[in-house]
Amino acid sequence: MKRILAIASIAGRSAVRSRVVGVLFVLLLLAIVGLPLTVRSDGTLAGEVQVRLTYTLGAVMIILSIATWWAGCAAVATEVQAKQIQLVITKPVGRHEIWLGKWLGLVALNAALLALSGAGIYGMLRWKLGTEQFSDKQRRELREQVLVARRTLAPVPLDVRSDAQQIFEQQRKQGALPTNQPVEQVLQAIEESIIRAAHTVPPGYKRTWEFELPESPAGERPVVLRYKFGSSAISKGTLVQGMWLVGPVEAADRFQLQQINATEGTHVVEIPAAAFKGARRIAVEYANINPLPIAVLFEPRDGLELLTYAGSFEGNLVRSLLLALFQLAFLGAVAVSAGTLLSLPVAALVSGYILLLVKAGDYVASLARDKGTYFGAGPQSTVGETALDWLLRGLLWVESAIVQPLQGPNLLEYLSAGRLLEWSAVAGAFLIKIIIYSGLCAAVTTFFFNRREVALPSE
Amino acid sequence: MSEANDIIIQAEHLTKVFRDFWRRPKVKAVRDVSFEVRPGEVFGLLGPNGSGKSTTLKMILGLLHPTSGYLRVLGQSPREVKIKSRMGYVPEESYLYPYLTSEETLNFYGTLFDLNPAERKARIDQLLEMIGLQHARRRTVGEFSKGMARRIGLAQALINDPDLIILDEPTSGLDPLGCRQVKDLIVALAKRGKTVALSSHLLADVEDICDRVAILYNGQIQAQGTINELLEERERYRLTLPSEVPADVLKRVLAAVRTELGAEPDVDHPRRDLEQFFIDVVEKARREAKESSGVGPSQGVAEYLTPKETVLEQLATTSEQPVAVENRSHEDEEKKRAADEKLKKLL
Repeated sequence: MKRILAIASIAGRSAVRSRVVGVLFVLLLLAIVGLPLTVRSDGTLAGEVQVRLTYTLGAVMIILSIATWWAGCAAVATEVQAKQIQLVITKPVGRHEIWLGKWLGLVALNAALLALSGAGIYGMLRWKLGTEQFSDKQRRELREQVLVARRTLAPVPLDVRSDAQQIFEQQRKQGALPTNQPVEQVLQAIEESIIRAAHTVPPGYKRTWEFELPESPAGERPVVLRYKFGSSAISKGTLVQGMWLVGPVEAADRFQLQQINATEGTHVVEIPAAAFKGARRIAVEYANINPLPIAVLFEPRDGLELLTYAGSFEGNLVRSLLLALFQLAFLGAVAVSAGTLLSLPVAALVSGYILLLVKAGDYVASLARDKGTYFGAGPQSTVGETALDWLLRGLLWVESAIVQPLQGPNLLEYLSAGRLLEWSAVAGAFLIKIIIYSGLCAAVTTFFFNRREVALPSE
Repeated sequence: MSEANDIIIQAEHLTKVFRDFWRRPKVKAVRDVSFEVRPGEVFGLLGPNGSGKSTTLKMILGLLHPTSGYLRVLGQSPREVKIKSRMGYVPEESYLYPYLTSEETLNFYGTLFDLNPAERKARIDQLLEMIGLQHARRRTVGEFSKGMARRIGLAQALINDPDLIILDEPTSGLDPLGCRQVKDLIVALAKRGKTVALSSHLLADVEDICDRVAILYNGQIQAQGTINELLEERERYRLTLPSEVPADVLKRVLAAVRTELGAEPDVDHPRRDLEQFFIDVVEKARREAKESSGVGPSQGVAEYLTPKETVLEQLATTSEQPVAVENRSHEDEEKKRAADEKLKKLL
């Protein structure tokens, strides 16, 4: 361990004495202090703080990500180039210790800079709230919408598989199904159409969704219903009138609230804790009472959410910084690995490509999920699937299986929207990004590094 | 033939081929090289640039892997991490971290050997004193001259009190004083039972300190053996007379040689070598100067590297030479002139 720490401290000293830390510090300071001066918001205090948090923490993450990527690639690659690694390798130091030392140095540096940045962002926020005049309403909005950690609950998912099977069989008998499409793809399309229908409220109708709460809300703090929807109206921004009814599933009299909203954007409704009457299984009903014949379609993925109070903003900020640190640590692991096995420019390109694939994880996963053809053809074609489709699907599946576990909550969105980042998410990120993925990087790199000659004439 | 266990470095039919990106052979740097280095021996690899000396040393260090052949260092594969705790390596150039101070550099390498803080500190103090850089312990290595950095490079190789020291061109970049100190150090280490393997293309260096040498050319060993075996001309003799030989005695000796051998002998005065003369001059200047930003006076070999009695011997032979060089040189000049006159008369 002493050896690993000695190598880590060298990485830290190198960063400090080569003025990298100084430059990073100035850039972070500009992001934390300078950036908020340039941002425009919707005019509300909550909106301004949301934008500030998103911009400053986003800028901090971009600066640290680029620095980590570059410093990680350079950590061993430049030492191989300058031959300093020869003196280290001729000491009783395992190659895994060199990798770990360099990576830990990088993680420690990131931890220090993230902690400073977090303290800076929080300090600036407190300073603003302490020195400027805001109305009580604005402060209350800020406290309840942004400076809070709220648990986000989605409706209990619908089981549509058996319904989809039934429809599929009916249509197959009627000869209404395309013949050149894979069965899975057709079933998936039917499932999606059922789900979409379950989120559509025709004019004069009502639709109910059920929510399972971990505990019934109590006290002063209201529960927030957040929703976004589209409509069958042709013109954008059409106003839609609806009635919300919220209460226990078995209750006849529910809390009611009439709303008129535009179809653009996200809307919120505050529901007093008393409306839940100590129940955990809650029904949320929407009645389309629009005078015009307009159907309303809620986004099936995140069109309807209940937000309940779960903790303080400060705790959420700490958890978001920890998640950011784990993300940077994984990024550093990929970069240090590439730099240990390749020359600096090649390492930068390769690790950049890998990190891009990880970033596009959701897109890759959706491609892998989409069981259609890629090269074969569309619905009009008679070619069907080709070998290339199989190959590409296999590759996408493998890639998706590798990068999907690395996807996590969007920190900026969660923190600025006052959404709870759970400790379980932090523990999960630690397990996946640090123990499993960074550990895998270390193991694979050590295997090849042990076989690498570091004193070749071409180095 | 030594027992295999006694051999510090054993190389048999060692070959190293460097390949290009497509794995095609590009350069055959070392070809079928075989040699052994025994405990306490100073072994030199001698050869012109590009002859395969450094490649051979780097294979011994585990920095390069042999393409074929057998190589054992301290009884193990050179890639074995454990044996590195008994080895010290001085590279051809000082591959040090430029942003670390001398003290931090030695402390870092000492930590890699798992030395405890007290021992590390004691050794760092002794080593800095030995290489004459105790005044520059808080200066970063990046500010150092090549010679000063080389000294730090040498010190880091000795921090673990190694059994086997490998030096790649150890005197490269050093002034004559530094060269002499390095050579003295190597001899002192060998006296203490350490094994030294070095490469050099400076023949005088190798001749001064090596017990055995292998001469490499084009990756192959061209000659191998002890210095005496390789250099001694057994059919010729050199006669050295004691100083202050009376003129008539010398005359009679020369006459006898002419009569007995029927040949004219070569007679001249022995000369001190330039290296020793230079060292004397610099030592004198150093005693007179108060300050220097460069290398300070060396205090002999670090104590932990040298047994007690040898320290005294060492100090007596290397450091304690309080001779007024100028006066002695002046006296020498007068003596030389008188002797030349005498010689002319004799011949």
